[in-house]
Amino acid sequence: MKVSLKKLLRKYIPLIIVLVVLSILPAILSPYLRVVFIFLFTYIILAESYDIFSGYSGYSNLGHGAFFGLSAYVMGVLLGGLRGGYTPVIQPGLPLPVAIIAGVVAAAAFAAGISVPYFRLRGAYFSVASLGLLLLVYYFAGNLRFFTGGPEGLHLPGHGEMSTLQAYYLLLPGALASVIINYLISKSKLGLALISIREDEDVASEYGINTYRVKTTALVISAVLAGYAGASFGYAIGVVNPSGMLGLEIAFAPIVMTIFGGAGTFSGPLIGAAVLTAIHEALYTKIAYFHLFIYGILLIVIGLLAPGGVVRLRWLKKLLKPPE
Amino acid sequence: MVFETHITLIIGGLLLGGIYSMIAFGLTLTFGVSRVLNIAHGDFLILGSVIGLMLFELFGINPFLSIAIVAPLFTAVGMAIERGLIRTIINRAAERALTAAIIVTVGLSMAIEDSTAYYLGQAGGWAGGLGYISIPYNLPPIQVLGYYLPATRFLSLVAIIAIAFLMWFIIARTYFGKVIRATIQDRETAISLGADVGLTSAITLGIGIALAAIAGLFYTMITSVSPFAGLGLTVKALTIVILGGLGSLFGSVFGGLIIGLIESYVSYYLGTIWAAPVSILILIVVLLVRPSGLFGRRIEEVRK
Repeated sequence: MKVSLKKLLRKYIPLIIVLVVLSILPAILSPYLRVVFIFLFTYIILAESYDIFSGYSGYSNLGHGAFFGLSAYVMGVLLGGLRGGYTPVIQPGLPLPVAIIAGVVAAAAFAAGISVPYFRLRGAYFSVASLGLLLLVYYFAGNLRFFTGGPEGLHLPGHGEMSTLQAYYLLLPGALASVIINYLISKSKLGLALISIREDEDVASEYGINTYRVKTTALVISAVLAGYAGASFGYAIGVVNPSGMLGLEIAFAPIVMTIFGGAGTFSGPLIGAAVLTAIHEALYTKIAYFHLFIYGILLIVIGLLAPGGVVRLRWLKKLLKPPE
Repeated sequence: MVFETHITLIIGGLLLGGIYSMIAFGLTLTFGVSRVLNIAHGDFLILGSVIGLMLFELFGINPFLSIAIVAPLFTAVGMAIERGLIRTIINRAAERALTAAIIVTVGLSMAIEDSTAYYLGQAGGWAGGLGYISIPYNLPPIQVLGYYLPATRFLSLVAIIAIAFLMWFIIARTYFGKVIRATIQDRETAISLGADVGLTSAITLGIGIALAAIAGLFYTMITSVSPFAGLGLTVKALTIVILGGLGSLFGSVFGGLIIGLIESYVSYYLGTIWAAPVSILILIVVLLVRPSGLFGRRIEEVRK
């Protein structure tokens, strides 16, 4: 099959335009909007990476935020974060890239380790048990005061020199990579194997798919991306504490976004993250409370009316379809 | 280590275990009948304790007596939730039903937690605006054989045993209990033999939620809980269900007592902050060593 250069160009032109626009965008954004974009990129990475495992395999990993928080903490400790007025554990701290990589590796190792006991569970049992992972990291972050500074958390050194511009460019590649990786997985053998597990795990296993290995691979990929988001976002914020890095809002918002957009597609999490971040920002200044309440009600409504997400709504598809 | 300390730890552990058993029993009962694992289950413990605190603060009603108000109230709430939310989910294809069930019950949990936290966190509001729920009800200790025993805990334990006996009677000795057991064993056959599975699911969800709410009364008499503790309690209940063996009603009661005793001793020796993570570590160890639990059937049969 010969692919002409013209066709190839036409295929990638939208992507290139988006890339260029996103890379020069911060020049015209106000600092406030830059922060909004930093949040948006973080949510995109988290939603896409949640989708890579849970969307395709059908296993709802409610503990996805554990990878995010764990990585942020490993990064914070290695960077020499100050523990509520005490001296850092590691002195002098390691350079930022090393700390971020260590955070990502820790998240990946955690995912690989936890897959041994956790993949003995299926369905709803897996989901609730995975929620336990989030709580486990949360409790350890709060209890191991010597490393983590307890509930007050870590204050990161060198954060003062960090501009919103640098944080923007730290998270942008992560967001792009997560969308692209999700897209590639949806076209790959791994993606197919995951979908077959979602449809019927026993049949998939009988047709020669090593279901355990497939699930673990996807979980580790998803943990790597979430870990990158955690370490970068933690540094961008400057404070790593249990409620900020492992709180319910940061842990559940990406899951709500993915399901709202449509799980098991690469576009769903992207749409969900963009729409809900915009709504969130619009509401944030007006309603100081009830963010989780609104997310909760939204989840109930989606669960009852459109569990497939926005991208799978038939009337919306019909509406967006170009007239022939 | 004195003998008296051990007695206190064991009574405390058994009471905590009894409370956990009530939550876990309700969770496994509702999951067995309706096939929907209610992630908001633990939040009904919090709601139960909020109602109990309200009755105690506003009307001075003894928490043990408020069981008579909390139980029917939450049975009705549970039945309404089954009709409104769960039933529309059950009637979907299996794969979609699972995702929808998780989404809807997580959403329910988030909505409950956030609104409870808002009303409890109000400065100048009732409950002191502390953001924590605790029922300040205490009886003077009683003296038995020269030892002082905490009377409130002892009375709670007696009440839990009475509830356990009532549950055993309903499940094992009544026609309704027979329908419940049949539905847990084989839903399709139960339907084809004429059991009203819809009504049974509604009532069992009501019973399960009422048990969690009553457990909330006992729980907040011995400790204080944050409005965000609900999800953690659901995870703990699941730990107990897995420890006891998936699908085993007796296992959930026994598992609850074990976890309660372990937590009681861990709190004493390592500090209360380690009680919560220990139960999750137990979950991981049980899954590694004995995935079918203590009283579980072969895991392939029940894990779907």
